Amino acid sequence: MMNKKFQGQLLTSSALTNGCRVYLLSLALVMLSHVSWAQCDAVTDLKKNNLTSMSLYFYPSTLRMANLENNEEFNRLIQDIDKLIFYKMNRKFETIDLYNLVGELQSENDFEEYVILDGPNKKFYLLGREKPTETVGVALMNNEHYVFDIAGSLELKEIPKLYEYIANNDSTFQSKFSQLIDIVEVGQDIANSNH
Amino acid sequence: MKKLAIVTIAMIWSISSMAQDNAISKYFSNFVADTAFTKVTVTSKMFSLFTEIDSEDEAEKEVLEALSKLKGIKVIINEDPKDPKTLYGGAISTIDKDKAYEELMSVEDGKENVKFLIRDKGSIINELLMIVGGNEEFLIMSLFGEIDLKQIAKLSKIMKMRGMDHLKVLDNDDE
Repeated sequence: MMNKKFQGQLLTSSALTNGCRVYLLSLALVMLSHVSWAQCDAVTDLKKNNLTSMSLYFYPSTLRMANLENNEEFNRLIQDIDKLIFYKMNRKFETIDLYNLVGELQSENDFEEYVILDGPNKKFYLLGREKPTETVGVALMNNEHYVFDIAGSLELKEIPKLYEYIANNDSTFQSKFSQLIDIVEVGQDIANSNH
Repeated sequence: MKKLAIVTIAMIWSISSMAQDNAISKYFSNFVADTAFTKVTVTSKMFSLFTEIDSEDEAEKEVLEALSKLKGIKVIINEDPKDPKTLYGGAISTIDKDKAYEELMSVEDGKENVKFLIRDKGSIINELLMIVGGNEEFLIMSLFGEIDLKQIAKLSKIMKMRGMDHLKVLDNDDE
């Protein structure tokens, strides 16, 4: 065990000059900012270009909050996710933009297709890349476009079990999830009104 | 703008159907281009991710191994076919011309016809093709790669995808 006096010496009386400390602190901040902004620009630019009507950001702690039923499969599914961005797109975002985003992710950001569903009223494109591990989903459902971006990895094995759980508890799960989104939206409105 | 959309869609689909190792890419590209059809593709990349999953359950291990050998799944569905009998008959006669496909099983229950065909090379099945024709649905599904028929029926339990439930009839396991 390191004694408290010695720890204090390391922090305060070390050979590091103030300049060095500032440099190391800056370096750490730069590295942290890279970790927290791991999502690719093609996705984050959607928000910057005012194409979103709602944007939600989930971190491990907030993801666990979504699991109000404390479902074990859900917890295992999300355990390696660092950050999840969820955008509901506004009317400026059209289906052509969905295809353009999918094309851009593949051609400029090294994403590969995992799953494609393309129908007259429903579209879902799931793409991923390994370095950094990132999964992007783009969907059209009920005339609304959605984009989500997951930094970190999904525990794939848990998806069928989770699907089964949601199918069996559809109304309960959806109402609880929408309650959470409502809470976040109210929070956003309050934040916006304060600015 | 429309032209750009068509080019982009065509580009995306051409990438995903690059491997002509399945009947849908080979014979039914006209349905893929038809906007009345829903198209589903699960790529080899998705299946390769299953190789990274550790499982302690023996049955789960076997299914995961079977999944990892798949190169892809392609499905085309028309949920409101104008002339389902013609679509089904046309698809069957197209496949019948290719002698590489061998009928595995047919199910006819008055409402719906389902035909399973396989394409193999030696003892390895390279493709399982399912054609479904009913009054309310016309569907073609192709699973390609290295196929273990014993495990493939169990896929319906894992993949809750449209049409997968038809695979249950291939399950001879009395568990």
